[in-house]
Amino acid sequence: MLNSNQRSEFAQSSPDRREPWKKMTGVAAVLQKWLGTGRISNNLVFDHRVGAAEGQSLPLPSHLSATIHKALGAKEIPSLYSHQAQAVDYAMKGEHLVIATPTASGKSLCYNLPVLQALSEAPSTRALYLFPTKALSRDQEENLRGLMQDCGIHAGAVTYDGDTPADARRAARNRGGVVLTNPDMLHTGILPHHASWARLFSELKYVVVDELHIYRGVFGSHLANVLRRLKRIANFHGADPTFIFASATIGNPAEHAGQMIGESVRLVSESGAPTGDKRVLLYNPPVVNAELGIRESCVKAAVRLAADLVRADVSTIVFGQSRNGVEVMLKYLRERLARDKISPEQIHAYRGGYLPGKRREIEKNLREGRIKCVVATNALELGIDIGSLDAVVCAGYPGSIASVWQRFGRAGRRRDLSLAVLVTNSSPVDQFFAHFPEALVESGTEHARIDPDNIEIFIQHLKCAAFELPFEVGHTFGDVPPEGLVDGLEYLVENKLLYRSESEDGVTMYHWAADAYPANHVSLRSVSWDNFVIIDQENEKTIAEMDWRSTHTMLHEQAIYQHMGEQFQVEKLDFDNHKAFVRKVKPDYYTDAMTYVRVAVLDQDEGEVLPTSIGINAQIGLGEVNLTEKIVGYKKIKYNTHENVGYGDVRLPDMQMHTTSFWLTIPNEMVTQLDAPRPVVVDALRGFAKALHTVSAVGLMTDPKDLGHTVKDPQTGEETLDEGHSLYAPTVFIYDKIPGGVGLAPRIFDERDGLVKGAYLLIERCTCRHGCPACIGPSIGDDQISQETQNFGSRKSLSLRIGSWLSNHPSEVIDDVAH
Amino acid sequence: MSHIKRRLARLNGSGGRQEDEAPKTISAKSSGGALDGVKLAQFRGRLRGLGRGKRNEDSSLIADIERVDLPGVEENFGQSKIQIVRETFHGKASHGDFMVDSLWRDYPKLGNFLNGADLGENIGPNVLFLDTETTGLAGGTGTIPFMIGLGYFQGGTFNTEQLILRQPGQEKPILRYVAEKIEAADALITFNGKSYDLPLIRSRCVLGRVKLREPGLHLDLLHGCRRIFGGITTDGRLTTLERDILGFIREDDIPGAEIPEAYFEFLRSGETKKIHQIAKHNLWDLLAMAALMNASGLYTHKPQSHDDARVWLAVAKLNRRLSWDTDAIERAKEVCACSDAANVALQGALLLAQMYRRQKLYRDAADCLEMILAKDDGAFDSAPLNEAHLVLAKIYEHQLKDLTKALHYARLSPPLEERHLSQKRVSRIESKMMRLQVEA
Repeated sequence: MLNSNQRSEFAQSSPDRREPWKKMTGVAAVLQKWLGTGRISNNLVFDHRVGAAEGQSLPLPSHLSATIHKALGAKEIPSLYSHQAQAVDYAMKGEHLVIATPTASGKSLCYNLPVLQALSEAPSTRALYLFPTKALSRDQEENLRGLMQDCGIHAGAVTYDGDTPADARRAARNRGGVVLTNPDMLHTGILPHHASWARLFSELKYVVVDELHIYRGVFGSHLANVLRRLKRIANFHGADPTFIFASATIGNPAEHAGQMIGESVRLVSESGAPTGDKRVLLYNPPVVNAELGIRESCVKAAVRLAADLVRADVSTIVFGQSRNGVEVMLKYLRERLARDKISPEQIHAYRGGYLPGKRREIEKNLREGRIKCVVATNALELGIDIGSLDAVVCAGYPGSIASVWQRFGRAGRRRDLSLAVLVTNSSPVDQFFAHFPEALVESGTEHARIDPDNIEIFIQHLKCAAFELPFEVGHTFGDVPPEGLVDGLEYLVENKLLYRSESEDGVTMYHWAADAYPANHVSLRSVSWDNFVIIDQENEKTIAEMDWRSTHTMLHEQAIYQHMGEQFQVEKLDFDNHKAFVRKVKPDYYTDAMTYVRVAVLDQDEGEVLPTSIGINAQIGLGEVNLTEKIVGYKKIKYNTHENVGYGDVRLPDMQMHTTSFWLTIPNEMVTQLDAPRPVVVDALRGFAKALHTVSAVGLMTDPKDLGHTVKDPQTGEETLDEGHSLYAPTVFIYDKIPGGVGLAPRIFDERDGLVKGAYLLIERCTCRHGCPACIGPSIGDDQISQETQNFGSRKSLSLRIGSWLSNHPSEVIDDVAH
Repeated sequence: MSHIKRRLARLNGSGGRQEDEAPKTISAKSSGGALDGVKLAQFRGRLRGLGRGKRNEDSSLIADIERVDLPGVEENFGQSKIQIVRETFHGKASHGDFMVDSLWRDYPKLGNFLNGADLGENIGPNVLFLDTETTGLAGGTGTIPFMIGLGYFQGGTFNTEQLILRQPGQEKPILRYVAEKIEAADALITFNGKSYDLPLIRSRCVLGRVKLREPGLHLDLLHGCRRIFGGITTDGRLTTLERDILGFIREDDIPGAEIPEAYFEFLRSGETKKIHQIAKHNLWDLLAMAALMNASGLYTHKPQSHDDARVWLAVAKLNRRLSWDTDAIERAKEVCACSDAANVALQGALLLAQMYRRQKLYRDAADCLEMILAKDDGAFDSAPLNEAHLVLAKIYEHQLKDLTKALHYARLSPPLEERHLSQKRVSRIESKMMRLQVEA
């Protein structure tokens, strides 16, 4: 809640007097209204002002050609922002650089200008642009073509991806001055055929990697290896390109870019772009069930706030967490605003599954103001050009602070006041920010972490590289130590994938010697690219696509699939042929899949004891596990009331994942000491695990979705853990939810003392009485267990006792901390 | 320390440590020896971890290779040596039912038919047949053509040369040799070489920095033979054509899919038995191409049997495609006259009618179709039959102005067009008739 000073600040920023005969419009008017309504202001837990910045401009660099000067002049760009000028300067000197400035600060000009200059000096010059999505390449292609035309440059700009028709592919190979593609296509479509791309590689002067912050974890580690291959191939064809990276604000842009290419990289991070005043608010929806600690749905709250904005003629973007969430909000918003005579056509959804043509149309209508409000997934977080909007409403914490600011950056005009609201949901991490909102501005943004030497990833790319060009002893591969490279090559020789021979002058060479075409078997993303198509049975038209991983939860048979504000029911899922057949329905519910996870420990790497305050040691471990995720059924959830109105079965193949996990085993003596039936204790432990998951995600500054947790009790018989591992007592697993792992579990293992204590404090401090979603989460829903739990105090009190023992705190000390 | 721990040490250490400041140097080039040492140790530790339990201990297989038994002999080429298998086929050599000879020179149109476009001149005897055996079927720069078979005519003989790569890394002289041969020939003849063999050789030349001039003319028999024999073979593969057209059946041929592995096996163990098989396979491919040239020439020159009405129809279509209308009409008439292949005759009539309509000879167009339809004994396939009815309906309605007949054929033709269109046609003709009756 806001204090009185903050309130008066609200009053100041609102218009002086209300003129009742005029409809109040604009951001300021909405702020005033929200302040005036107790219902809303009571729940505003944070109000932060990001002051306007005048910006700093520098004249157009004189070393840019006259035609570029003229073209920019015609576009009314008489000068550059200081960061743009700096970036152009570095790039033209051939220094690798990374531009890490906020959204909408003109990053694309930073890399387009040096490329245009190079093309105007020598039309045979080539540049390669990498974007993480196809949509972004198309967007930039249009933009770049326009610039080229204005500058009188005739070299083409061609997007080369899976959608490029055959004749355009030939054109890209031979005539494309700038080839725009994605890392996956570079990896499977271009590098393995580099001989056909000789013209591109031999004249390659610039490589642009936009949206660098996306390439984290496994994907980033893959890209770093693809770039090692790219550099090697370019060198073979006689080129040594300069790399230009562009990134959203992350904690370590220069380090991250440097790791990508194994060379040092110049940093350009001081934005010279002017910005208007921005108000950042955090809205924590009211508690609707104090007993259960349940708050009003953030979806509904976000819809209410967005509706206020749209009514006041404020162009607004609403971010949802999932495709489903987006569709639900679209439906609610359209219904709500229909009462105000606002046409549904002015409110649109935008998300990954829409076909490219539809997306272009929405983007265009947004830029031109025909759409007032767009409800989007993170697909719009990236640099799609939709112009600037006045307000952002973000329904739920998107998983990282960097992402919050990326989304907030979507609002903001040069001069006017803009508004950014984070609406928190009931989830623990969201509630963490609701209680500590300063963390949004004070704790800085996350660091992007990659491990280019992750051995599984490295070896895959070493194969691809050897296929592309034989290795000779003395060749380099990025910053891999030469002896390590030879070791890797010898490893592949032993596995009969490479053939070692001596050249005529006695140099040892390694040739690819296997039939398989290695790049085809290496996917850069942990998520499969093999999309499912969704077909409307009415007219047999493909209405959307969905990636393989989401299929299990969103396209199982009988699922309600939401698309463009309409509901479809999945009638048939052809799993083998990747097709889902749907039919339009008008249900009063949507579906939510229920999953079940099985864990098998494959290999234990670390094992230690964790002393507790009751003198019994708990066991902790770290190792490789095999996870099997099964969709066991689905719930039907009623619109508006969100009641559970039924269940259904799902039959789908299990999803398996090999990853790294941290685990914590509660000895049976400890279970006994709790003096409650075993299932009740295990259910309470599940609550503690939930809190540990939350605290680990916040502590490691990672997306909670990158971690998973589960609790297994071998004695209940339902779980089978691998033999030979002495996990005979209830065990909490917290694991990397990314195949192979990206090193989160080991960090939990190392920082377990602080995290276990943090989990305890999270439960301790939560204002709920018997446990809520923000701390220990729901019970497994078994009525008998719930019934029994009541006989032994609450589930929360049991979780707390476990927590206090594990964090080795006598209870009186805990009381001190708590009060 | 376990491999996981090492991996972690890295993740916790250099991966995440330098958090706030951009590191001055990250590159291995500029980093000190000590750092390299640590990195290398981590690397080796990780590599050891990778092979856990899966490593193939038997690395002794990759021993020095004995090359005693490779087919062919080592010959000097410039400064280098190349392993070559040479064969010579004299005078009356044949492959199946056809000669391996440059007899096709007698058929001036053959090159045009095979190429699908007018070449302006006949192909001479100075051609180069080329077929490669490779280490992978998926293509890509890393696929190596380890055996390149060449065939050419010299004097009265057909000579073949098969160049074998004794080990990867010794490809350059072979590529240079092949590049010279391609440059010296008037035409290159391959089977699927436009999309497979030639791009592969081109890629390897880029990699080996060998200059390769594009062939003056490239006839790809895959496409040429599909145009000519498509109607009488089940698929377009070389061995199918060899069996169905040339009447040659290979015995003890190595399946194409086994070829890459056979070469890797040779590299690993020195075992050459399968290399001999591959050389035989490659030689058959070369002979089959040469014989197919003759077969194509002969078949397109005159029909070989009644079964070949389809080939004759294909020849008629090729003539039309090349805009040799007179010949197209003559060939199509001959197809129509072929009494024991009703459907082919109907196809011929459709083609003939099309040619006549192009020349505005509408009466002739209608006649040729009706003549064939008169023989209808229920043997016609519905698709060409419907097409014939539709063509007749159009000719009678618009050109010959015989509405009764137009209506007759329009009623017979529905399924070919969108249903509402055909109904429209019927009702339009009916209303035209009404109008005429009223006027009368």
